[in-house]
Amino acid sequence: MKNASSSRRRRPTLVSLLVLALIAAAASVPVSAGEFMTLYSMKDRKIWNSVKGSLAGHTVHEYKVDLLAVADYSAKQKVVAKADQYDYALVIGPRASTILHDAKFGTVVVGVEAKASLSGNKVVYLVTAGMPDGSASKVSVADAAELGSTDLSKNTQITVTDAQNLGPILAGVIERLAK
Amino acid sequence: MRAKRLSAFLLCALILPATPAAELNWSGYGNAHYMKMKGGPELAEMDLSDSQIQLREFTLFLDVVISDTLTISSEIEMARNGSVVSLNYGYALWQPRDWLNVRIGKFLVPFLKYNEEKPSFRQSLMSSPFTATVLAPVINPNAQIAQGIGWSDYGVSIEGIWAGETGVLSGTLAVITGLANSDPAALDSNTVNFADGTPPGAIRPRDGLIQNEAGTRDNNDDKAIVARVLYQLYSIPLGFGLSRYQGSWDPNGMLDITMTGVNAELRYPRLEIKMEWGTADIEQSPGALPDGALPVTPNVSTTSYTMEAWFVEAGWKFKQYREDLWVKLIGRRDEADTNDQAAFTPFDRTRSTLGIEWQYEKNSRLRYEHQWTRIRDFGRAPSAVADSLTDSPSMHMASLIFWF
Repeated sequence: MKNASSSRRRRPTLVSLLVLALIAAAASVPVSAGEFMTLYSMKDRKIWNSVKGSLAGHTVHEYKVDLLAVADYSAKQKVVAKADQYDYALVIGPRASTILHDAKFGTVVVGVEAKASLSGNKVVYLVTAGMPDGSASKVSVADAAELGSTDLSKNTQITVTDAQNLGPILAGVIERLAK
Repeated sequence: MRAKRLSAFLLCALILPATPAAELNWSGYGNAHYMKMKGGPELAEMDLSDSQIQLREFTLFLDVVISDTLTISSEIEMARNGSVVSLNYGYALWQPRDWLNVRIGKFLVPFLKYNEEKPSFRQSLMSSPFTATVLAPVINPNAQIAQGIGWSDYGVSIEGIWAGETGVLSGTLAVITGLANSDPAALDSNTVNFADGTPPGAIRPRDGLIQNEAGTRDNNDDKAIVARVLYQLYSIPLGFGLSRYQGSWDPNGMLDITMTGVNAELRYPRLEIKMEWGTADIEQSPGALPDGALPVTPNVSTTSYTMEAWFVEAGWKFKQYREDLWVKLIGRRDEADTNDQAAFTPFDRTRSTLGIEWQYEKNSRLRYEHQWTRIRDFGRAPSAVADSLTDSPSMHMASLIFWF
């Protein structure tokens, strides 16, 4: 009887510890400046290879979303949870954005040639073919220099009129977002 | 005492936010449904023909990212209006590389594909195929279900995934506690007692393999091994796999269950076809049940036996008015061969299911399904059962499914 009573007294503290641990875990967000998680499909890796060089100097973690095709139903949420630890989730190509279309990122998302179905703290689309819809404010630029006055404080679609400059414009967008 | 507890609170509040970085991510799903069976058996515990309305599942996924390589992952499921609360899975996931997943704890058993895709928002029908209910105990068909819903088990699994030029290859090896029964003589020692007074034991349930849910300890020293290979092509949305399970189920570790299964899925944006086939070889000794609770019954009158189950399912979004809004037609045919040579079993069945699903919002759906069952073994039913039961019960179900 005595033991039962003392265990009743201890229980609230243990529960409290658990609750506090969860709250603390939710509240602390680890971020290292300028780090990316790039999510792309092998099917669209040409797009990634074409812009990869422009991110030299940044820490980039590459993830092939094709791995999700054979994973269980919880794998996608785990990948998103991991991506949220980075400053930016870089979603490359239509296939990656299709696979991740119902994922809610808790970080800034930059979609390159991606479908307009991404969701994050902020989403910036870079397209050469006008794929995303009109939910974001739209601008057209030919090179990185033209980004100068572009407002990136909200969801934006940037149409790149000269596809050769996709990489440098991506680098420029990242630079602007980091400010 | 109160002051000490308060101090503990404050100390934790100060220290925990400063502990190594971690991030909690949560999401979940649920479904509520109305179900009515016609011609279902009247069991001693309940009449299965009585209709029911229930919050079938309400589930929370919690993932805590401890570091870049370590995640703690769990699924807490409240089933049947919250009367059954279980941890569907809870494990530490170590990912030293993106292509390598090591799970330690309680995880979904990687046998076939349905078990890892079973949530209602991932499926097109609420009812589960026979590969899940008869071979893999994904949904326990026992009317007196007390444990969780889903085939998960304790152990370690290692999964390697390789994304190549033509597709993705995945190989998984798991060591788990395994399927079990505390009864050393017969795996299918379950009983089904009918309300009409049919003698216990006259019906051989053979209602599916039994999940070892008694606790974290194994019932023997022989761990079960599960191996699975999956391959997904890029060129066409076709995936297929081969699964194998082997482990002893009895307390003495002498009698094995060996299962083999294949699965295939073809998934276009508006059309999907999927199938599973599995067979289970069960070693069993003949004889009376050792606890003396039941008389010598047909349950244990035969020795080793083989069960087989399969399903084929097709879904077609015949109306899609936005990327996330559509109406889908679904059809499924499934069959369980319990291979009973001695007695009547109501679980040796074929089923046809038709459904329609309307995703009317980005994250919720309405679904209706109608199911026709044929009990193939009905000719051997005891007369009392044959008089009160039809060989072709049917069921219909309307569901609301949501996820967040």
